[in-house]
Amino acid sequence: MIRDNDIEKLITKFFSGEALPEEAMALEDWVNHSPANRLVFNQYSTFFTMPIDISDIEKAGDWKKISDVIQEGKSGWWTKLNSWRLAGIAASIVVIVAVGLLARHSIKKEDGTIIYETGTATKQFVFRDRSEVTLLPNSFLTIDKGYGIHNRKMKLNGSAVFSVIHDPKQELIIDVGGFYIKDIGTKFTVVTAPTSDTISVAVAWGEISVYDDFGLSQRARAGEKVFYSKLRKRLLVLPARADSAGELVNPGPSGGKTEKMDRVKDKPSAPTAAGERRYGYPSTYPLDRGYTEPGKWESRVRDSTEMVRVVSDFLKDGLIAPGQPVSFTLSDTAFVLNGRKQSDRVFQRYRKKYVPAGKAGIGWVWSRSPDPL
Amino acid sequence: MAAEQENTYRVKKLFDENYAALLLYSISIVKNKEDSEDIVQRAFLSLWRKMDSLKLHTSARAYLYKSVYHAGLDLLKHKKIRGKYENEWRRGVPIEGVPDGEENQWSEKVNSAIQGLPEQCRRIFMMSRYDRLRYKDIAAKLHISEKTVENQIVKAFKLLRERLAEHFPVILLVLLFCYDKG
Repeated sequence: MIRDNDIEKLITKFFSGEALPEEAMALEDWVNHSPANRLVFNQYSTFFTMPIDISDIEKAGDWKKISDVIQEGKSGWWTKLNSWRLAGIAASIVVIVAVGLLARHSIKKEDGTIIYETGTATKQFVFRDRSEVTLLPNSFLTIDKGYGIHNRKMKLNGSAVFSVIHDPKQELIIDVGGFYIKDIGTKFTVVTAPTSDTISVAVAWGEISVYDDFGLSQRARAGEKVFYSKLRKRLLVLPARADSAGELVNPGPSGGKTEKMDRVKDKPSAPTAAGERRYGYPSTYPLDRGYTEPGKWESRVRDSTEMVRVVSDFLKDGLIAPGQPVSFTLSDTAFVLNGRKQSDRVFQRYRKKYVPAGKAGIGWVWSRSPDPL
Repeated sequence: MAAEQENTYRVKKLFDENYAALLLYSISIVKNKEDSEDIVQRAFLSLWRKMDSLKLHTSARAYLYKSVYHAGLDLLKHKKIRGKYENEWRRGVPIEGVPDGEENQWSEKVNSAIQGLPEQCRRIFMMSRYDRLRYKDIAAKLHISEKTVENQIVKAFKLLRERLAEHFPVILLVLLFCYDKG
């Protein structure tokens, strides 16, 4: 049941095209609850010049289109499907349907598509072609059942670390929402964040090429970082820096071969002498200069996801603005963000959430450079 | 064959119960009736195809809503529909069977009320209404949080509704049966 003070927000979201399925359903129930509710709904609709009445929809005609396809059977279905104006939507629906229905499982198979999903934990997957993917929390990876045999295409929604075995006859291509990464013998990290339209790729070793649907393309080598803004359609490759390339990812003990990664462990790295911990972040947010702790790949993967959460919380709570440079210290004694000590209420909330109990002195020191795009 | 007929019957029932609302939901996302019809019809066809093989973890209605939602976003993303239909929405949706005078009268009242909104509130509302930008896009452009965008749009709606309250009974008669003919 929707509370009265939520309904205006919900209606606004609906007409702004922002309503989630659950919200749209709740709103529909509310509208149907009484004529008065429908009246309010209609009033709001006028501000967006939305077509609000649904009573004159030609249901019969629209159902006939569906039933015709059903009657034609499977072959007719595909023939007709391909002739439709929005044929491109079909694959998406298949994927999305699977995502929606199988949300409780990390791996699902449906209609020739396999979806790998993480909840709140990082998960690692090794594929038929020996490529390894560490999928960060709240991410989806979609591949075809014929992956590794007929194709090597993946679709990533979220963030992940890729360790790819290169095959010149069958290049691996990752679709990140219309931005594509093609491996040329590579290990790299892809990070997207719900609070940013920027996709970042940090190349650990080897080489990749990246491109989008609009003709932009670049190549990036080990140590280089790629930034792509979906909104602005800008693509930037930052050159390797002696003091930063090694920060993002380690080349691994094999030095040119694919580094085998163990399952990510939830154990913190050793604290510094000052009793604080410095965490790397292989993503849009470059690390502090001077961070050179080697061999902590697993913790970095874990830490990067933690950092996404922390920064997301900052944005959500209005503590920082999107695109604003960030540095902060969070320990069990203080929370200082961009040089400003936070209120006790804010500090306690973040301490409770991000500073493990019984780990006195553990916290973060971290800074973010401005968005290079 | 009996199972197939049963599936068809179930989908038809779901269609009768949910099609209109799903169409409206799709229109709210993609801002176009024709595209929305395709999206919703595909959602039903997808459901029909999976009736046998899928054990729905959620209700069929939720399944359909999710299908429509993601297909709508996918369409916006890949077809750049926002730019395509921007001009169409700037002009406003045609209202058939309504005298031009009444439609214009309402538009003038709404526009006048919009102009009377606080500056930040008006700016954000206009970006949402006319530019068809999503919250996150507005937030990025203005360097503010999505929450602020949402609050400002809610505020705009509240103020507009208050200021136009006395006109609604007449206006609704005009708009109740309007429709985007694509």
